[in-house]
Amino acid sequence: MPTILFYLFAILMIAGGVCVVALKNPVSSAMGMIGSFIGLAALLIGLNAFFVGTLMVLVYAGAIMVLFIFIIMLLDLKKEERKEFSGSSIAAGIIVPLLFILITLPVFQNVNQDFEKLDGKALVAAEQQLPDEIADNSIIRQQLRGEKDFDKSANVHKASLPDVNLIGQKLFTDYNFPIQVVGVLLLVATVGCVTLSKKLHGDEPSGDLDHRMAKTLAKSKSIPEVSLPANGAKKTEPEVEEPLQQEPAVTTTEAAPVTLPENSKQDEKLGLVYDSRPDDADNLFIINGVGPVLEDKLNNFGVYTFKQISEWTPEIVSEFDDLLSFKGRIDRDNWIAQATELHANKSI
Amino acid sequence: MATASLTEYLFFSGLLFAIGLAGVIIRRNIIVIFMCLEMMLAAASLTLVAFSRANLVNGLPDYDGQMLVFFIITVAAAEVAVGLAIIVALYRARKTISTDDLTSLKN
Repeated sequence: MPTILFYLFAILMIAGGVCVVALKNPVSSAMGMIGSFIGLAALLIGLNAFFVGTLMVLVYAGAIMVLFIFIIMLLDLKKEERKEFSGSSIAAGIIVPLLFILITLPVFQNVNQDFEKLDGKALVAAEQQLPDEIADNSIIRQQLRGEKDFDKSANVHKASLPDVNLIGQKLFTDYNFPIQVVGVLLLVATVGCVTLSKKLHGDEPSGDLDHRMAKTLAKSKSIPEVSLPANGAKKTEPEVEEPLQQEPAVTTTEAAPVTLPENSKQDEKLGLVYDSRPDDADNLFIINGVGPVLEDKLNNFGVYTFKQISEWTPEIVSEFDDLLSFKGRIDRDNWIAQATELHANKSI
Repeated sequence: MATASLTEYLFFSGLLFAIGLAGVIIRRNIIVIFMCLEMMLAAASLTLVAFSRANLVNGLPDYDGQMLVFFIITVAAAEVAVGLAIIVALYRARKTISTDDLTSLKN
């Protein structure tokens, strides 16, 4: 490949790669990736690997990238890209690849690494060295001898590299067993995809859940808000219920229309909380987004049951958001809807 | 006409690999990380083809290297299909694909 074309496509390849890493929008990343693969395919074709280069465009730039863009569009990821990159990961992401490039630099010490020419004379000579099992009238031999293409202007036969035929010959003789194995691999991958995409039982919230959630919200709003001086220390103090306990008669007897379970009280910031672990405590980590550690934290705040979480109002949610420094995770993982569902299932 | 040498091919494939590595380390979007992984695989493929062209066997390129690339492409296609299915399942369960939010194993 002439040097100038080589550098053109190499720069296209590298620029596409930089776009993938640098652009914030995943769709732009995918487009950069396609550009990178096209440059790469051109380089492969420059290496006389016509079949592999074509495969690169068909499979990578075609099938795989379409699949990526499909998933990006399906998940609607544009708004996901909100976070800034952390300084330490950028530092590591620059230093480690730089070290790698440093390792690759010694390739420049090899001076005389020009490729041998694969012109007509070399190809005709190569035809003489082909193993005998390739028949004399085969396409491989004919093309190497140049009997396929006849250049009328120069009145000579033009030899060319029968790339696809040579690969096919290799594939179905030396690599017969590996290609069967790859067939099995593709089958397994297909089965795996089908299994993974099957709708999990109880995965999606059921249709009437929004309705039920609205009802729950309405119920919790019917509890009159108790006006108390705002306690500024509360946000920094994790054990909120301690000071509240000492405050005289905040509560509930006239405020809450429902009878409270024993051991519990109506906290004006955190909703219903238990003083000690009740008998009907639930395993909160069943909720998606709550792990064992979070469950412990919630228990410390006096939250033990799905029912409590299902009755949280938006104010309570934002209070817990601050206390546990979640940045909106309760809403994102839809704890309330999940807890409502789980509570309903429990009482059946 | 001057042609590019093996050295240049190797260096640029190393460069592409390094960019992919940087993306895997820096980015937080799991789909972009996955794309960068594919890029690293493709960079390795370029090295294989360059060596296959450089080491002629009986006057023809060494097609063993290109067979390896053929299998890499096949496996990469299967890997992408399964990987994206996992990402979609993950998104359905957690409503996020940022690696910052996927820290269940950290605690």
